[in-house]
Amino acid sequence: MTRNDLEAGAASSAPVILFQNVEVTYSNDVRALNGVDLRVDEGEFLFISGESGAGKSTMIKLITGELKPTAGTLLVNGYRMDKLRAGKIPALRRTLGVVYQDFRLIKTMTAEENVAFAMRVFGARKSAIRERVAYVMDLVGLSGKMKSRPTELSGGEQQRVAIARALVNNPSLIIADEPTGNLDPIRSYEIVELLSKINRLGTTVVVITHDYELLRKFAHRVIYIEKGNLAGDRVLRETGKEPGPV
Amino acid sequence: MNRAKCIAYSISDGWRGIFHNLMMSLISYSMLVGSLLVVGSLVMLVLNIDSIIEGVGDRNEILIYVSEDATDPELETVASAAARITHVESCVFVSRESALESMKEELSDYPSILEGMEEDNPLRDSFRIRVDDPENAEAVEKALSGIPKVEKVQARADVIESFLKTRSAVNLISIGLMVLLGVISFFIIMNTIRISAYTRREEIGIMRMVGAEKSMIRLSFVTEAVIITLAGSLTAYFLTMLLYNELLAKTLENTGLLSVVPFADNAFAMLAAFVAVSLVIGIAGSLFSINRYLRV
Repeated sequence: MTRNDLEAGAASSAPVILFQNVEVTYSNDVRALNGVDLRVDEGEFLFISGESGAGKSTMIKLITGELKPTAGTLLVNGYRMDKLRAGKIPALRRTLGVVYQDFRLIKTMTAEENVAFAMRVFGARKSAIRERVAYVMDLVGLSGKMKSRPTELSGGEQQRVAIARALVNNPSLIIADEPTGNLDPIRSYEIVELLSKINRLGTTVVVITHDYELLRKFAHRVIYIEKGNLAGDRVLRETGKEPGPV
Repeated sequence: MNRAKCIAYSISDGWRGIFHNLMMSLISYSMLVGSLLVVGSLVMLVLNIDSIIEGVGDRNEILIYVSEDATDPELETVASAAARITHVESCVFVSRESALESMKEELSDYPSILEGMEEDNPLRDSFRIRVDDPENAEAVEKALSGIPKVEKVQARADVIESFLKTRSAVNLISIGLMVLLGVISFFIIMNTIRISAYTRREEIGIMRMVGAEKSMIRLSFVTEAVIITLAGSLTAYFLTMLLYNELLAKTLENTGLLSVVPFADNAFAMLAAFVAVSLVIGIAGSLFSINRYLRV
């Protein structure tokens, strides 16, 4: 699959994420993104790669509504992020699932409670929570660890719980910010394998990573950000090229 | 999203927050109980002083004695001059004979004291002057002293004055203490909620990231604060009632010197004031402290 193929396929469906000439300049005059154009379609799996400070996290912050573009147009799950009022951000976030490098699990809660928490804050029925939590915990392969607390789980298992939590409200888009940053290579592979499985079930997945080994092992689209610019957009395993600007 | 269930969740979350942060919750609760107890006791003290002043006001009379050689026209002049003084409500003449009769009645149990008085009545003709307000007694007293043939003015202005001064002092102390204790309670509640929010900052971050609305998160912390302050105000109310009825009121009643103001006369107003203060402190304190954790 090439970038052109992806773009051709994408034309038939609405974009889940659409950056059009997006710029971000921070208050200290540092320009984090410099006219980025990017389209991510429904059902896609996208890696965002690049060196530290390149602008990857800025892109995630834009997608989750933590930041507004200084210029350009940004569409996420049908929301115009450049024009989105603060009061509408919660509604946008209910369509997303976010996974972080440091898992962000609540240590006083069990794995099951951590996942259920994301449903409980919306007042979901207990029976619905029980059913859905059991499903996603099974999906991430942690049915047997429901009652374990984060401190009793390995890093990989904690990240699986975080993925289950991101999935539990059935989002159409999962954003994972360096989800393998704290894991060894085998666990990292397992986590991306799990995210790929979720993607095959129909959820669009965007993963930020520094790990070039992972980019080589998985035949997913990769975009490379360099100094706030989109410097590369391809599928590594098929092209056989090293990661980096095209 | 079921809004009613979200609200129910936020409220139950606020309840759990109290136990998450039990030590600070107990400190806030105790501080509020102490503050309101002091304020409540001072309010009851002020009400009792007011009641005493009113009691004095009922007998708010000034007696003026005229000289023995005053003729009837001179007595009439004194009466009309006294009646013309501002703040004088009434002026009643009491002859020395009727004064003696009144004394006989009052001292009927001790007839020996009055022996020989009928032959040589030592009492003088007098006027009973009634003043409209205890606060004006001093001015009236001065004006009466200047009327010709008035020999002596006997007033309760000094007693009233000392009560008024006491009331002013207690009022001032009460207001000062109310403000001071209110501010302290407010900051303690603010810090309690701030610590609670800090210990739960990851939870708040996750709630924000999964799309919980700020108002729902705020509600959780407002609930936590309001439960603490409401519990504090109700405890303070019952303690004030208990201390007043069982300690102060009984002690004063036993002395037989004063009739104390019943707590029940002011119970509802005090309860309403305590609840209102606790709600203001709880809501404002929690809203001030939670905002910085909602910026995600």
